[in-house]
Amino acid sequence: MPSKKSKKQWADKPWFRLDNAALIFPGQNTEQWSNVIRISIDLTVPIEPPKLQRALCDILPRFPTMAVQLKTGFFWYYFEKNENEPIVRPDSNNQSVRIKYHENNRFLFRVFYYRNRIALEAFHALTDGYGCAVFLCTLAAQYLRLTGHDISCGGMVLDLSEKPRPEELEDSFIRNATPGATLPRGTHKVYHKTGTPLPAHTFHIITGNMPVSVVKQRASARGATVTEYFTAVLLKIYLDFQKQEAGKQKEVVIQVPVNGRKAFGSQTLRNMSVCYTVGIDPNLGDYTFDELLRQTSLWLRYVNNQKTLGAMFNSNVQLQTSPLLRAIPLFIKDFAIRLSFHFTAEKTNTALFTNLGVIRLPEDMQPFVKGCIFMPSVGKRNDGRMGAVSCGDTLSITVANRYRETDTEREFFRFLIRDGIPVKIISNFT
Amino acid sequence: MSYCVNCGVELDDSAKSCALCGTPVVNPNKPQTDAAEPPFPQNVVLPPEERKRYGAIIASLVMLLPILVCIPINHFITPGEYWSVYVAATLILLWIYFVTPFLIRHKLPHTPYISLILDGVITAAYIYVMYHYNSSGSWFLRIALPMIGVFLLLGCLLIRYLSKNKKLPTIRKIAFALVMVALYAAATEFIFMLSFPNIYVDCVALTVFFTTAVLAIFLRFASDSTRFRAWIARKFFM
Repeated sequence: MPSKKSKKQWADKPWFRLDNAALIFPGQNTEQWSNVIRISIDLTVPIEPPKLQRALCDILPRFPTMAVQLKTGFFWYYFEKNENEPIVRPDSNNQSVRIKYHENNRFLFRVFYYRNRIALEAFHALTDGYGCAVFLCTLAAQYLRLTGHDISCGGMVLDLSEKPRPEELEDSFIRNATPGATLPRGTHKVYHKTGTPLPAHTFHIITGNMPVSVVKQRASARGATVTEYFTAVLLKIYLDFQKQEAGKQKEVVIQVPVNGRKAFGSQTLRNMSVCYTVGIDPNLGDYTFDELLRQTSLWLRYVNNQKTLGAMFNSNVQLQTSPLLRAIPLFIKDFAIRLSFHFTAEKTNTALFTNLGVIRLPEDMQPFVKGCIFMPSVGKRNDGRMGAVSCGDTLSITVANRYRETDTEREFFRFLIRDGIPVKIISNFT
Repeated sequence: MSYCVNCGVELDDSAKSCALCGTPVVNPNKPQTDAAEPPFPQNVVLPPEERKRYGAIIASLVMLLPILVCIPINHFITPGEYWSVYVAATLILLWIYFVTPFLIRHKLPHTPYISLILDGVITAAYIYVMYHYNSSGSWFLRIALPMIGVFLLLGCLLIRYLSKNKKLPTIRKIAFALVMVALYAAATEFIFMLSFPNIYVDCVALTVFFTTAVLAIFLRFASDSTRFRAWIARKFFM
């Protein structure tokens, strides 16, 4: 149960703190690194902008954590209730550009439409992939209702008639951190595949759609889950890339964000994910794909438990609660965050694979939904930042790449084709 | 439904080439039509430019403040001595050097030339203020002005060379920059000889001239040699 204090905070205060994971994002929101998550849903009906606008205004009171603006305090950033209306806009080719705090009536998310598609781009400080998916599904359901269809609630579609529950609004990191437990952070330099950068604010986005059943069958034939399978594929292709390049062989590390809600039974709609890393050192010898998959799946199963998560939360929460750090003015904190992210952050991982999982929709909504696309934030340095989501029998993997070269995507999808998984590609670059 | 013959992936109906490898789509059973709509919109919407001008305006105000404070103090408390002129001149110099690039950015054509000339003019003015209040003789007209003029001319030449020849190897660009340094050193020596033929200064500028000229000529011809470039790449790789 959330404490009395948190209940009071939500009921009475027109402002609230950023959650523990969100604290770092405003400090590193720069031209080069947007930290914008994008998720889109393809319906079977065309989108009419006025109705979408109405649906958005209808659902906003149910999501007080989304209807906010970012304000600057002396020591920390904070969220303040935003009384304006967000505007829905036609989609564009360059997605996930940086959020500026004053655009879109000061909302930190954008809603787009294109043909049958509704897309949501949200600043990572608001919520993570799961929170975005819930918001988008509720929006799509309300839109379908406004076009005359009868859609019930359930799954990722929230009931608009009920009030926001305190447990949806809590900072689950602070509540579930294990006091005293800490884990070291990875700080060593790893292999990076770079290329020719595209002009600012344009990215290569390639989505591969594949049948869930075939992927599951291929993964389970080797005794692994879908996430473990794709992570191992990424490891394999990056190890092969590095082998072709001259120079010292460095470790290849894949970042795998994990949704902490399952482990702690949390229902928060704010950030609740932390990243595990899977690393392979090529200096130990050549690995076959089956060896990589075995390493990956053993490692992820070994670390993925409540104890590790609690310790990882606590390592982050400690920084927020330390009396010394709290007393530092915000502009110095921002500078320090920027500096520390310049030297660590993406330098400590080669690529990212995030699996949002299954989009759970009510039965009467499923016939109206063709598919979903989930795209993690574009990297500052890394080319392979992959987001997977399954909706119905389609699993779609989206690669966000800031470079002109598409070697990573090509090798990744070719590997899947060779392994017997049919892939259909769509891209914003034609 | 078309497949990439190279990658084996299925492609979107609107795709003219494979997004992964760029292989063109040729499907005899299904000729390309423009009817199929692309999966993503084609229009690119760029966010507006960063608003750095606010910072520049605030910096300007902050720099204006000491001038506004010093001039009345100088006038009423210590009349006769013009020390506030140094404060004002220094701040204006710094303002032109560091703040104006943000104010005039992307507004005018040939911005680098304008910035350089503006910097040259303000430097000359600053030196003139120092000369006027502090010094005597004719060194300002006979040395300072010609040297600033030559500097601006060579600077403009360098900017023109670098902007016209972006694809040249770095070694060639360094060679050209060294030629400019050599010319500047030669011009300095020449200006000194003309202005003060009686003062003997040990040919310091000529030493710089010969060193940079030899280095520039060597780099210019060495950059044509594949073997030399390979040797440089081998010796200085990081």
